[in-house]
Amino acid sequence: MANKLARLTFGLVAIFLCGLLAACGDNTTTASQTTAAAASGATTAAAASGATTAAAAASGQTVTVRIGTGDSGDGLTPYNQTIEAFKKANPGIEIKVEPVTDSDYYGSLLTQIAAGKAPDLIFIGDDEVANFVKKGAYEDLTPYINGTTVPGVKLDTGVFLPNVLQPGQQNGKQYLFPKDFSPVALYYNKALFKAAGVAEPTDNWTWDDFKNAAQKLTVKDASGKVSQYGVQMTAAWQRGFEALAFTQGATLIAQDGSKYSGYLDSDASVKTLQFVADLYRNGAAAPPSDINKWKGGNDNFANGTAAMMLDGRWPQANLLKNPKLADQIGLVGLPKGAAKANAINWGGFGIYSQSKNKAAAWKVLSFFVSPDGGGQFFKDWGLTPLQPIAAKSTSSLDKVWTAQADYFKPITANFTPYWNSAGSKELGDALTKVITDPKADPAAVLKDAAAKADKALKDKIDSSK
Amino acid sequence: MFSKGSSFDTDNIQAISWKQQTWSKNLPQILIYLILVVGSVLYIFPLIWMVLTSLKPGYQVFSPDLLPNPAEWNNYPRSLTYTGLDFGKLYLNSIVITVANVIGTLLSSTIVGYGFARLQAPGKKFWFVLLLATLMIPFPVTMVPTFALFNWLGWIDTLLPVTIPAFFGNAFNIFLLRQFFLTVPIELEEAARIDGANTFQIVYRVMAPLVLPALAAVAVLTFQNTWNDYLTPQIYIRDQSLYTVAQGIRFLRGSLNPQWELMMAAALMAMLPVVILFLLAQRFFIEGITLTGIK
Amino acid sequence: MHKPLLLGQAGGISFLKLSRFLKPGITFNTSSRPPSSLRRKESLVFYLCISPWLIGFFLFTAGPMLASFFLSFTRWDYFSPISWIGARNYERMLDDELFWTALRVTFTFAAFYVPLSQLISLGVALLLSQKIKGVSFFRGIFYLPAILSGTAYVVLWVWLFEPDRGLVNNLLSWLGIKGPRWLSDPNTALPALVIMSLWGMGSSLIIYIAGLKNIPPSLYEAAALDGANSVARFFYITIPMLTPTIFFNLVLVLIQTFQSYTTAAVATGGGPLDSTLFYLVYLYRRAFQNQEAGYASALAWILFLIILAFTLLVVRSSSAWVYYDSQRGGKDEK
Repeated sequence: MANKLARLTFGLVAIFLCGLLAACGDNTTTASQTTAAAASGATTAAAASGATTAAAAASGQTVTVRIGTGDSGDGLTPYNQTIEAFKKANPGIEIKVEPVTDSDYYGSLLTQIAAGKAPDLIFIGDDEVANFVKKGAYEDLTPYINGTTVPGVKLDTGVFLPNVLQPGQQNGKQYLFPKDFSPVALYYNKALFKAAGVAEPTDNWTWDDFKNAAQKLTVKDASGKVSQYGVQMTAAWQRGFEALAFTQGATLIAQDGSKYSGYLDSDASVKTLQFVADLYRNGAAAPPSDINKWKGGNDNFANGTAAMMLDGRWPQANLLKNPKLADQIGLVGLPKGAAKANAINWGGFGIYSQSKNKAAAWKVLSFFVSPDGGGQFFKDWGLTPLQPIAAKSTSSLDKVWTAQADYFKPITANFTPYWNSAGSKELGDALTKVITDPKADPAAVLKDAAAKADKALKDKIDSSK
Repeated sequence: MFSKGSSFDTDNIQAISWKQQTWSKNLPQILIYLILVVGSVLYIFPLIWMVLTSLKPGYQVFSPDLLPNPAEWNNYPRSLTYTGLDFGKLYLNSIVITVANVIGTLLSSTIVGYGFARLQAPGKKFWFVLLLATLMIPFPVTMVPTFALFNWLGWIDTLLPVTIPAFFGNAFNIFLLRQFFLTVPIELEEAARIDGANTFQIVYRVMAPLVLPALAAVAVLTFQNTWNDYLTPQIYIRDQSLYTVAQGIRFLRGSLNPQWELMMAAALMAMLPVVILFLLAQRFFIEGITLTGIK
Repeated sequence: MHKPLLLGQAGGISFLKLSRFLKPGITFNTSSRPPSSLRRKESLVFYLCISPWLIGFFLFTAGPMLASFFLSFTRWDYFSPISWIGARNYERMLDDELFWTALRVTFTFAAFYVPLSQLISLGVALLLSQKIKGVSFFRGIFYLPAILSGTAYVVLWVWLFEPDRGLVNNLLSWLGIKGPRWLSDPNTALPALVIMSLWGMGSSLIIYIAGLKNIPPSLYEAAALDGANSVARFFYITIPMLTPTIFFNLVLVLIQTFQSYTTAAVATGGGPLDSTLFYLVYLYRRAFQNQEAGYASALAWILFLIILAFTLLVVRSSSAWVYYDSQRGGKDEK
């Protein structure tokens, strides 16, 4: 439709210009007349076909459910497979996937929401759930679950792994259901451990064990240049840091979302940052290839120049395609600090609060996130949040991933709608500072970050009143 | 084709300068050549390095070897699809946008330039000063409301915002063409008018062919600017199937695991159309830059 | 009548004329023909001919400029009703740390890039204006990178600056120097962007070459007869005669530099630690990622005023150091 409109407008502008050019002549020329006539002919055709489409849509009986997603390209394959399966069981409901580019996904969605034109099902990440719910973008799905709102269409919430529904909740209500998720865990290269004569990591490793191994696995060549790093860390990635902080017993924000001071700069947080800084500073951690990119842009683990790597499940599929690495990869949960803990990375679907097809949208949603339909969404990227599907997996690595769900603690973004505008940047900057400046003091840096984040947070809270 | 009656001809000027005195005739030739050769090698080496990287097999990219061994030509086709972006489509988008901009700019700037050069009317001076003044207005000042306008028209995620404005002329090109029209003898125009030609015919049939070198300069520079532009499409086009090649390259930059051999292959191909145009029409680039002074 | 337009002059004229226009007391004048009986019709045809530009001017320049001025006093997200908030956007800037960072970064970048690019391109132009063979070949090589400007250009340089295996640090390590981490280090990211941008200084080069060719050989001949050596000729003929070109390049590069976007947007996204947060990168973020049309408009107007102030500064100062001989002034008309 937009395309038709565009063509129509283009035709009009073309006529307009031709008209101008023609008018510019003292006598109207045959040449320009012909051009103008040709252009207006094209316009009539476009207008006519536009009308036909509109008429067809009005008389049609099918309901179309639009899905907004940040996935694109190959990432859409699972959608298409799931949609095929859904349509077999539910004739009369069409599904249209509307991929939005990653560059400004949330911005585009908020624009659509403000205009009341957002898709019926909206996919977002854990970092924006609180914000979107606060803006009233999502329907409360709690009454839908037991089949009261849409009679007969229930959702069995017992099939989900522990803690994976929580990021879709706000104020005790369920707004979104998970598509996929990933913990942070420790990859290691068995061959490099063997070569260095270091015992492989276990689930009972402490951070001291980790640090000792990282140092032993760091190899320098004759000229003093590091040829192999002990570990590839997560650079300025906030969630990666949050996962480590959780294992030290830290939380980064007050539970009521009111302030960072006292949390982001707590002793436990400082201890975590000091630990990260030390690894980079003593050369055991590979310096970021590109600190401006998510997780530092390193590929040391992939090319065999780092013995360990802290990361999510996302690179796993590619690592397994590498013949030199495939049978050498080991995986364990995060080492222990004060406790065993982890931080989730999560994405899910919810229903747009202004959707005109809520019943149909719920049918699609409950299919997408159930064991019937949700089986496609985890292969090469995140993990499935569904227990029955996870249980069927034969991958030993995936079993380790799935087991980490037990250790999730609620992430900072759960407690404030303003994480992306107040807090996230300050934490990222704090990480960048200690990684790039060997003299930066983690305690001072975090104190500063907490103060700045609080100021930004206060501005946000004040301006939303 | 362009040499007859061309009002500027670099080779000619070259020949003049060959004979002419310059600020120094004492600098040793050897020294000049030495500096120029070393400078050129340094200058061109990034591009050579780019070609070498683009031909290396993935595992060789981080080895110290200079030459690819063996040369992996497959990097080129692979680079077109490996991130999930369909570069074939992006090239099509870029071509459509670029061609529309070149045509639009030529059509509109020619007639406006003619108007300012040859026709008299009350208020002409005022508009001409205004035209020159717009050269000073930075794009960012109009960026937000223009976006709001196109948004209101429903043109976001269409190619219209990146093509239609070209049909309204561009101040630099209008000014450039006006300068050229001023050099065309008025007798030629009057002869045509006596033969019964109207203004429209005079502009496009009589005047335009006489300033072809200027039109060529406008065309190549518009081509280059449009092809390389990133900010404008980035504002209006968020739909990946409508991305330009420049946006696609930016997308590769954002990809999680940089595969430099593929990124260099893709970037090299993205540069190719402008490079080919440059090799074919170098003098128009140089004359265009010289005359308009814009990049 | 049919005389060749001097290279390097046409572009200069626009600013020359503008500069006169901006100076009080000097009126702008174009040639006019005697009135005729066809005058009214000619007026109509004139306005029809320039109407594409005229419409475009109102739609895409004047209208948006006024709108942006108005919007700078409002809060708006492109959809909700516009709310008038007076000068609050401008007050907010005083308190906006990132705004000051963006200003500082942009000024620092300009302070290094503008003089360096002018010195290097003038130096190369002087070499290329010598009596040597292969001038057009060398000129082609030095100009080539300028036409590649854009995302591919930047991506190439990100690879060259890659800290562990990029070309730059490889070359440095052959010289026994451990290269910095360039774009990943807040201290070296901006210098890296300056180096990156210098590669594309070809446009200035071409304009300098043209400017040098414009200097009448007779001046040198006369000076040589008077016994002036090449140093004297350089400082007493070349430089003074070149000042209009330097002036023109300076204005142009300044305006462009304040509006740099792609380099930082693609190479660093403004990071690390906002060390490369170009003004326009920040403005874009506010305008299109945070949908703050009002605040972004205020930021845009401040940028406009800064550019205007700098241009006026250069234009006003030009009478003190730019040399226009009467012959040039004469050609300027028509």
